[in-house]
Amino acid sequence: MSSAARYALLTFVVVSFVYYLVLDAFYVLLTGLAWRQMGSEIRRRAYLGLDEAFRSPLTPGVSVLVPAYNEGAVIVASVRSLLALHYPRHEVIVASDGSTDDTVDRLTEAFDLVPVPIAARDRIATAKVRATYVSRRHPNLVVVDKENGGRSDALNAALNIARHPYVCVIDADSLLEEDALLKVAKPVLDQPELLVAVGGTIRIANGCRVDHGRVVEVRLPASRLAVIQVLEYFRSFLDARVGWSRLNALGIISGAFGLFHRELLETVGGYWTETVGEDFELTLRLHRHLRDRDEPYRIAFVSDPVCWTEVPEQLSTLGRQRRRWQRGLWQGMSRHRRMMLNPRYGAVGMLAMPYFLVFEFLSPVFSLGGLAVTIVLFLVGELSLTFLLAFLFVSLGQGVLLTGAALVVEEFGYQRYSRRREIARLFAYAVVEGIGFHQLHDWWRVMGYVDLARGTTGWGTQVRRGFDALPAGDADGHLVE
Amino acid sequence: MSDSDAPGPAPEGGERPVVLAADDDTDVLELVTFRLERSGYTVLQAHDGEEAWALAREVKPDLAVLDVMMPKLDGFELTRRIRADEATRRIPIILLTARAQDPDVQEGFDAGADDYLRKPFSPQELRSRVQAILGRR
Amino acid sequence: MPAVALAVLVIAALNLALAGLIAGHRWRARRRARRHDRLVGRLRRPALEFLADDETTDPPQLDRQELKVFAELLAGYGRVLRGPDRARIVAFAEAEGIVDEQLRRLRSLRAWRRATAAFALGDVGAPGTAPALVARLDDRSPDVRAAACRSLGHLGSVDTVDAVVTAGVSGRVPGAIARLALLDIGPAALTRLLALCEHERPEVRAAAVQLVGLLGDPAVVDAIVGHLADPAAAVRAATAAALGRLGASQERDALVGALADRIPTVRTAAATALGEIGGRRASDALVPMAREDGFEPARAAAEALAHLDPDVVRALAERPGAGPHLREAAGRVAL
Repeated sequence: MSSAARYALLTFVVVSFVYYLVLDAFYVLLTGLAWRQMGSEIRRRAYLGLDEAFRSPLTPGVSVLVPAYNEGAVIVASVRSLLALHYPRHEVIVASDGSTDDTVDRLTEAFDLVPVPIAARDRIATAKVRATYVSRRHPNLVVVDKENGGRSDALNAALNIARHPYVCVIDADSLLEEDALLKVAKPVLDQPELLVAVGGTIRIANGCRVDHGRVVEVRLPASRLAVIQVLEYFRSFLDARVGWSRLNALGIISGAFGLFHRELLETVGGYWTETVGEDFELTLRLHRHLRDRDEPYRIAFVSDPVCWTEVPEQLSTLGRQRRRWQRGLWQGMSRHRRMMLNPRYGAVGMLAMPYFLVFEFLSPVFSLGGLAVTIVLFLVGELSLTFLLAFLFVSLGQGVLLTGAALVVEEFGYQRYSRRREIARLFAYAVVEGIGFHQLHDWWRVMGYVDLARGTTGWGTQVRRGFDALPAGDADGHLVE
Repeated sequence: MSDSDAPGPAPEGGERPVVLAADDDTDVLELVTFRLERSGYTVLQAHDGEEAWALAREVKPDLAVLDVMMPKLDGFELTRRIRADEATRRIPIILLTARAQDPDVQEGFDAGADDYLRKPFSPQELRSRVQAILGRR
Repeated sequence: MPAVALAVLVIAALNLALAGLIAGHRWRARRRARRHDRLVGRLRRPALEFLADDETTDPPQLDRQELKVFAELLAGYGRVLRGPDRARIVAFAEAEGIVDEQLRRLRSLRAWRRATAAFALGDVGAPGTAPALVARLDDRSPDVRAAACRSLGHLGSVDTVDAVVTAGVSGRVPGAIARLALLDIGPAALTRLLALCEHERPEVRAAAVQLVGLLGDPAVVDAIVGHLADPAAAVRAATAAALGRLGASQERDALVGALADRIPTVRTAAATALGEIGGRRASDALVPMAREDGFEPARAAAEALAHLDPDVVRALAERPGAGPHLREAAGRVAL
């Protein structure tokens, strides 16, 4: 091997090593922050005052926006649970984005919908709205039947008719806890002039027992893939997002659940229809808009779980989802590239965006690439065993530990998984998540690069089984594929 | 006049009137059940709107005390159903709820409730309203 | 290869330690929960009987653990109760030293303990604890201040109104919490609130007017109607809303005048208020507004008309130039 090539490869390996050191340190820091936050949140429950928020006439109304494309299997149960949310004043707006199945029919039948011409603001252009309906039984339920335009477009259409000062954006298959709106509205109630958006923790519904759109028993999924995602979500939500929000640099409020100030959303132009990562891009745009105008603001994150969602259980579907996320990352970051490492944008520009670029978007380069090169160099004798082991520790081993730490945080804070076998299973899978799945995820990210290079767009299809059809986990914790 | 929960005058036929109490808040449900039973009524409990609806149709209680914010079927909708069904139409309904803004009260009466009691509530007041309604029959 | 073995052992050991931590925590938590549930099961009926029985005033004999659970049960019931039952809970809490214990906790060094105690005192409702809570309105922790303010609302003492108002106006307590506390205290706060309607800061005036409207005493209409001409739009809007809530039909003309305000939020509030008050002049003025005004004011006008006279709205919606809001209102009326 030529000396220049050798030097380059060794440098690359060192850079990868440093990459992991920084990532690990960062995660340890975030886990620590999450631990402290969680401790105070548990105690805060004793004096949170949600009852007061409920009965106060000052609590602002919330419009729940539900974009739906071919969600016939779940939509009725989902809407029923949304209507029953424990909140003093809210409306539910379902925007059927040109569904080709029986979504609208099922809603019409279940809720006695009647066509009513609803006035819409025209600030944000959308695909044509074919008809609007109001439920006779629940006048605060509105259904919009529109031509297909994508999730962003459906959300914008719903936004155009929302009547309350705040909107809660969710997925059609999100299952909200009864107090979800109260919990995310609480930070807004405390600081109404500052709070512009609130994100909430998403939990995984696969395997849970669901009744009438509510999770009544929390169980680990039977599917191995889903269990691994449970761990992933712990790490990313419990730890990462809590930490980011404390820095007021929360880079993404998940599309599965988020609360926003309606007029601000309208002012920034609603959702961008040209991206598959519309939740990420919107959050960046909000930060940018407010910091451009030097307006003091806060984007909060509520770590007490409020929302449950279904995750893919098949490798192919999951792969498509992760590739899509990768494309969305790129689209959002490139649209707002002026924020990158720009001190004008504070922690968002200086910390959050570089983090997304290096540790999420570019992660395959260092994790797959760095690992591969390290192993090769070791095999040809350029690197010592000690270095290899050290590399393996900071890359794979530490990942396992961090997942374990996230588990501990979850246990002390929320104790949603109540069986011993489930905890044992989670720990076992922590190993698999760190050694195996993570690399697979990086491979999907690489495919994401390919998609971007090719200019692939679009969402792909997702098989929706409906909640009542979800199998409960085997009582003995046996794996069922 | 004593504030105690001494039973009121026995209704015609000497049978204990049956009251259906529905609330997902178990504290409230226990309180209402305990106090009304002490006053001489038989109380059937329901923890959500659908359970209440099933009981209402099956048993046809002499009175229903319903919470509004219940899962599965809220109190207003339940009231409407009770009024719409021939078999249950005549059951008197008292709504007992924390939702006490004027539009809520109006909606309650529009749905067909006979009375509306706000939470926090006074069990003595509940008892006298129950007696007033059942005494009329 | 000792290095390999060591590395693997370290990782495995750490993972096991974490697992052990969880298992231990869980076992302890489960035991505590089971014990708690047993006690609750045993003491539920005595608690209910204690509340209902106004002849004997002695609570059952209880040891320390049982006392805690008994008090917890009573606090739970107390939250949904009013009247003589509530008084019994207060008497019990005082007699058993629970109030004293919470007052002691109010002086704890840890903020969360102070906040929990401040909150609990609101549930207990012993009037004598008000001064201690008022003192907590100046606590260095925002959670403690908020909990104290909320509890002062529950205690409902007119003597605390000034302190609550100051806490809200100065921003030491979130506005929403201070305002709800004042609403809980009720009509006793009215005098002070009316005085606040003249405060130099517009947001304070607006909040005060809003609360006056929510407290619902029609006698105050004369005192606040002048604020329909306040220089700040937020105050004008709040006044219009309050007049609507108070059903101030004698101010119909003034509200109709407000329908022509420069600022849309004021027009919207005036329209909604007229929807509560009604009258021919109101309907006449609302019709053109429902047809032609901006989005929010026109919608408010259409909804107000629908509230006052559904048939008129249906007729208007048929005519050309009705506009989207009248058509929507007509559609909803027909539901």
